[in-house]
Amino acid sequence: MRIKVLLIIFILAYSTKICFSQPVYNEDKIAEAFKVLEEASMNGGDVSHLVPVLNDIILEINSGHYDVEIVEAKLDLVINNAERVNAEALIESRNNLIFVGITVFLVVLLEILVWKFFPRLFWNIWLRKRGDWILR
Amino acid sequence: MRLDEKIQAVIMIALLALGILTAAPVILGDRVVEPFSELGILGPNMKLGDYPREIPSGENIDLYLYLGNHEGTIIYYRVQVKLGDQSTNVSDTMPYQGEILSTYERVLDDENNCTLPISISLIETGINKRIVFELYEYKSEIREFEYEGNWVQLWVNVTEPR
Repeated sequence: MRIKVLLIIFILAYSTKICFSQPVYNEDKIAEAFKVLEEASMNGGDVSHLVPVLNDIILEINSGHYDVEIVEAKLDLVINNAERVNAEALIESRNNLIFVGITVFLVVLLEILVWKFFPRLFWNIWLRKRGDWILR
Repeated sequence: MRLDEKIQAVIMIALLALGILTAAPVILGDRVVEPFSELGILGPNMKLGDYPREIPSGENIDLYLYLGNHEGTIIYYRVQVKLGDQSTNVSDTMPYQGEILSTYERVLDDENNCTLPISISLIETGINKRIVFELYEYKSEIREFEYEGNWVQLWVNVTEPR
């Protein structure tokens, strides 16, 4: 008897969990997907191809007619792709930073070299080109 | 100024300009000076104006919701359609305390906009009913939609059903 009661309680609790946890879970997952998209976008990644997919998922969920497994599979796809875009964006922004750092370093170095050695270089060239000129 | 000094100055200014042009985008980033979102209601013909003034009770009115994102990043929007009247004013800081008629959600990439067809039906008859559209933005840090003070409204009279 006690086992039967426990079994009923378990089944009830499990079914309640299924009924009430699914929509919340999806909302959380949409939030998660959006967060990954947001991060990728903020890091300069192009997420324009993923936004319509997420919008379709939101529409499906809001309409109330959706297959949980399909929606979750789509959300996983969005999350995975957004993470890939984010990783690529981070690499690109790091490369840009390195490029800019090297450029700025070279510019500063050139400025110093021009400041220190340009007059001497200029007059050396001038003398080489026009040193044999005779003043009359 | 001697000739060599003039050339030296020109070269140094050119190098300085090159350095600034290279570093500026990285230092300043793609910062948006005045980020903002757009919320608008279009009439049944997708135009500003021609809004219905008299609505028979229980009948659907077809409108269009316009959203625009100029926030500099992707935004997850929620628009709540609320019903009210003259007794309470709409605030820029607090959400309107009215019955929620419907909710629409949309994710928009930066510098994008969308127009959504919406349908509203009012049951209770009365004059000067206020249909308020409020814009919320999802904040990932707090995991909640937050009211940003963006709202528009339509004044309608709900008449007896035809």
